[in-house]
Amino acid sequence: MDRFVRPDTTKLAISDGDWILIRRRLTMGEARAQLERAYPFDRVSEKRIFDPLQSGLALVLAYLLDWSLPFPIRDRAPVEVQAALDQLDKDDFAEIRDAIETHEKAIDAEREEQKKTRRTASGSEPTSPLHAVAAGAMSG
Amino acid sequence: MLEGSVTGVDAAIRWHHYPAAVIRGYVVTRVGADWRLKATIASRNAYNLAQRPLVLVVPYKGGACWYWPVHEYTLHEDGAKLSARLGPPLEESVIYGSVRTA
Repeated sequence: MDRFVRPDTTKLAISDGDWILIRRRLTMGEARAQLERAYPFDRVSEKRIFDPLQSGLALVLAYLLDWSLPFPIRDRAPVEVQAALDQLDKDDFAEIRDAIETHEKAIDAEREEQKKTRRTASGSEPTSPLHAVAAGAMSG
Repeated sequence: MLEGSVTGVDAAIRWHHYPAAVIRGYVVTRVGADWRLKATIASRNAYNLAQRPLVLVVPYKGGACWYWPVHEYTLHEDGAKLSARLGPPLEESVIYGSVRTA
């Protein structure tokens, strides 16, 4: 299992023959940026508070790299991508958001399976000679 | 076909779709068959900047971009400036494959 996220992408078909190109997995930095957008800082309570109006946008901005729609977003700044997303029909935005959510759930499930396999594989061997020392297996 | 030099403000160096350096001010100059970059760095990601291949992305009108492969680079002034040797500009399809037409 890769600890560093590779720059893999996934192309998802949406309705009417259109497609979106998204990041397969988010890096820690990308996930943090998504959370920062979904949980803006509230100056009154001095806490980050979940904003349901931003959560879908945060998800789409975190994953979306390109699309077949007639306004180029590849390599554009997030503020420009958001401007394009804000001009979509709300049902079309929801379709893109739902496609990304489905993809994210599938990847999360895949990662959980990989974690289980890794735990099983690493559960039988001590990783440090200190374990043997602690058990009384000293030499000399 | 680009000739001479290209000067601008906003550009980026990327490793695939990851940002390796955000540029605020650049000059790309043609030197024989090579292209050279001199840039002011606004921020950089050391991990992504250490990966290969790196590509210089320069947006221009209409939302399109120019792309140059970064062959080698040097950071100056504690990373505030960057100079690089570039290859010839590439088509978007060379950078991203045939995803747009597939």
